[in-house]
Amino acid sequence: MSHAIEASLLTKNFGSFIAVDSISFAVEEGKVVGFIGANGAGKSTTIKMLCGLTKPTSGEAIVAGFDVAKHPEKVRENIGYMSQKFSLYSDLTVKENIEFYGGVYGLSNIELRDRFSWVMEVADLKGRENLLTRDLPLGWRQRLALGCAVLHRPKIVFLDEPTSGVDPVIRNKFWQLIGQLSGEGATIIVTTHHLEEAEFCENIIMMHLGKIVVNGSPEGIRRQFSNLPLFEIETAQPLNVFNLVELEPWITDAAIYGNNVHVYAEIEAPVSAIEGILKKNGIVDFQITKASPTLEDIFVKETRPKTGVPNV
Amino acid sequence: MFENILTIYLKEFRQLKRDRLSLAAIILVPTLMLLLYGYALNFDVKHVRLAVLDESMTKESRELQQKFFSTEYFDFAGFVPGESAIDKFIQDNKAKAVLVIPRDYAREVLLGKRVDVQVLLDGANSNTATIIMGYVDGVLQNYSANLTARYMTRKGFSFASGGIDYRPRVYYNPELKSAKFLVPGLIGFILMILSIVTPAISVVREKERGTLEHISMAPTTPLEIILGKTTLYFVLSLAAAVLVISVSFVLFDVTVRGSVLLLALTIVIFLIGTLSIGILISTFTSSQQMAFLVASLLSILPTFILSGFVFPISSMALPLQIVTYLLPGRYFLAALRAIMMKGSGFTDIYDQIYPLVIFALVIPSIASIRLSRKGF
Amino acid sequence: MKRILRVVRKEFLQLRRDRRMFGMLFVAPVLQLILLGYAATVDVRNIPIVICDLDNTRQSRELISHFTGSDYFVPVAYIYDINEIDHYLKSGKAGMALVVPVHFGRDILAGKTPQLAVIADGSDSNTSGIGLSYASVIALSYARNIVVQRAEKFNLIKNPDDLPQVVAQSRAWYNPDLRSVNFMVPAVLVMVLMVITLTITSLAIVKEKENGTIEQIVVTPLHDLEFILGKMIPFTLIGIVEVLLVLFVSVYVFNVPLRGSVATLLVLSLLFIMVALGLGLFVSSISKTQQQATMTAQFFVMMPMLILSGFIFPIENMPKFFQYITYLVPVRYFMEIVRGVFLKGDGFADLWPQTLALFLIGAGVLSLSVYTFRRSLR
Repeated sequence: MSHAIEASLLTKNFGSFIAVDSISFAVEEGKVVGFIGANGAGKSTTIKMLCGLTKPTSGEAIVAGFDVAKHPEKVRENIGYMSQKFSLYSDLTVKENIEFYGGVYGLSNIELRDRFSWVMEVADLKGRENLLTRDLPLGWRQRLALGCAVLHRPKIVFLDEPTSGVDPVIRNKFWQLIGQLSGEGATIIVTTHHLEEAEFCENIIMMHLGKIVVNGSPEGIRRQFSNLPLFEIETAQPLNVFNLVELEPWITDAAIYGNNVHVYAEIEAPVSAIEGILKKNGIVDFQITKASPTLEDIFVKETRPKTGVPNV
Repeated sequence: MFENILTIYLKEFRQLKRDRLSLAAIILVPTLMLLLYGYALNFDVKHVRLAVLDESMTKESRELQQKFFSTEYFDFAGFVPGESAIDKFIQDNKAKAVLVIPRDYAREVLLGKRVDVQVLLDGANSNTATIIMGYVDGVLQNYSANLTARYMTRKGFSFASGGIDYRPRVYYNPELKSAKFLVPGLIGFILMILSIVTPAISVVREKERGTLEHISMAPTTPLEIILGKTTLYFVLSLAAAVLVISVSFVLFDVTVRGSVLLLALTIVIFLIGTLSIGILISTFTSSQQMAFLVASLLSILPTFILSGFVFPISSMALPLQIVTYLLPGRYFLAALRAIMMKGSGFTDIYDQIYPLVIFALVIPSIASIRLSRKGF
Repeated sequence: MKRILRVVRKEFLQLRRDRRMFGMLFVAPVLQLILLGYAATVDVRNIPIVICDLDNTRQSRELISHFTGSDYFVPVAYIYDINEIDHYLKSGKAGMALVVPVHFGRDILAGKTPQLAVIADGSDSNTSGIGLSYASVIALSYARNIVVQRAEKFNLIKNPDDLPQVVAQSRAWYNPDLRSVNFMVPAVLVMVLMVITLTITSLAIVKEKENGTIEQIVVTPLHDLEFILGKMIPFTLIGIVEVLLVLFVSVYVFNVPLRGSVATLLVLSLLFIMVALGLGLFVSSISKTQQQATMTAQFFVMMPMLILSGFIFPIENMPKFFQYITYLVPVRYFMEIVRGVFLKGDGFADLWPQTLALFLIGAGVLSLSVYTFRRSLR
């Protein structure tokens, strides 16, 4: 399978601040890829470099087979981009926005008509053609923005934080739309800081402080990190257990989930060590099992400072 | 109360320190304007380029030319070769005016007759042209009086014959320097911008960003917010006034002849009114764009055109003269010029001060009524 | 081409929705025309004068009537104590004072030369300068009357023209009635055109930056130049409409003679619009917010350019250094063009130096602004 995107040693500095630190990766055609990371991790900057919105300080990016630096116009014909700001003209109507972007993408009248009804359908906007965009509820506006960004059926679609600030119902509808686009064969790149959305992606690239920390499919990543010293303590007294284990220096992280306490125990023979503490403090009613890590666990683990006292 | 005001004031001050553009505008605009108005701009019409078509070519005609070019008003711009070339001289802007001395000039003068000389001038700028015509008449009348006296003496009448000994005297600005006239006006103009436009925008900006709502939730009253904000612009405006006055003293020799106290008092009264206008504007506009537009339409344009800053009010069309009575700028400029240049005291400029006082009472009242009824 | 038209259409649609801006396009020029047409006159008339007649004879009253009968002076008070003059001048109630001394009439009858003092408030340098020259003309013509009367009394002459006298027959070209309106109203055309086109262009791009729509545009295959052109075409059309509007009002409401051809004016206006659009684009590219753009455009571009354009203050009165600076101010050339076409009937043949200068500045400004615009996108 060929690659839709190939990035090698991409770097972007803003003054002395390194936003993206020589990252390399490739994206296979037709995949849905999620860039995951906290604010400031470098996700948006990476996307902007791939779209040609920002010039990389160094490094190279091949998008849809073209070098972004050398043939930006070729790249643009093949990509769609939607930013976190929903870049629609708020003082134009739904119809006028679609017509404008269709015109800008050079669609013929027939194509435009065809795509217009497509957008109306997928964005659930039938009957609202003549509403001003600023009067639309956020969820609709967002889907309209996506519709406008893919009017020209781009091979690659970049979505920068498309779901920030919307409720879960709308978020799910939006992901359905993404699934539909992907079904039509488009490669989709999404940035998000909602880890649960990562499960919708075929591939995940986790970023932290400008670097890629993890790259792979959700299952692959989970498999890769299956031997993390992560344990689940099932107990009737989760709060007491939590308070006890948290004090131990070798417990690098602990969290309560209902009647369970999840702990990272970075020590040899962790199970007996945990048992020891709990018994010593008079807690007998518990069961320790080895837990398989969630993506969140892995993300938290990988983005935690390597040195110093971990915070809880 | 004072602590709250102080808090707001300090916040504004810190924000302003970081807002480079506004800071640049506040410092650079007055400086730029001062330099332009002080050095570049004036109405003083001098050294008018005058060309001559002398068809007489006599001692007498040369004497007449001499009368023109010995004043500082006219500079010799060349001889026009013939009547048909006059067009070209003016069209090509080689001369602003052409003096045509007729063929029989000397004979008529010696016979003691009246002679008409022609003066053709570029009237596109009506103001300059009118002034030049005044100069021409002045030169010729003086010369005529001279000729008459000589003629009478020759005929044996030796009474003193100037007719009238005309003694013009100029008070306050004997060299009639434009800069001295424009600087007080400029202070008013700059104060208008600083005290109306900037506070209006500053309040509306907080409205746009929603921070004003936030502050209003805290136990701070709208009045305290306003006082805190306006205090900053009040201080800035005063600083700008002091700056402009000191710079114009150094560069243009503009001094304050009257009482500094009266000057300060006038400025303070004026600022109370104008700052309130700024606040008032901010209460009924919701975007910075709109606030800027309204504020500049209400301050910059009328002050520049209608307050007597540049254009004399007495020459305006009557309806517009009436409009000027509604503008605080009109009274402020008149008071400022009087105090700074003429050394006028309170009793002299009472007529300018009391409208300013009314203004400083009415506008803040309206603003605070609106604020207490509707909030921002 | 089709893509450019899409942008043009979009701009018009947006403009139509922005009522406030739409209003400004038509209210602003009318307001400026009224203010500048009726108020912005530097002609000096109706100078308030205080008259101090210490003589109070037939002769003094005759002289005073020469002053008060003219358009230039309006008497505000008649006083008989010379010390009161100070108050009138200091309070600004009078701009000038006329003092007729005691024995004025007696001296004239006795063939002596009496003094006549005219005092001007120099704080308004322009008014008092012109006022003094009017006063001197009145005083000297009165003086001549005295001489003529005396000569007649001694049977020296038979009629007044028998004494030597040089009189100017002045004729003002281009504006024979010396109407200030003829000079100022064409200038409004320049001002309106600059303010409108520069303001809307300077907002046009920064608005898309603030709203984030510009990023969306950049990732489309729309070329930068297509985008700029698409934005400029509507503003150019608006500019032309403004020219026609102001032209109509100037000619039919203010009766300003339009001696040159409308076509010349329109073609050269187009050239100037290019310059203004270039400047607007430049401001827009270097600004981050609409607020910045408006402030920059207003205070650092339009105001200084207007002041240095010869709009109100004649360029030839400026010191040499500033005169050189005005050569860099495009408005200066357009001001000369518009006044030339209106008042002198100039055509291309007369205006080619200004046209060339405008063209060069325009080309420079446009390329600079396109360059900074593209850079601002990266």
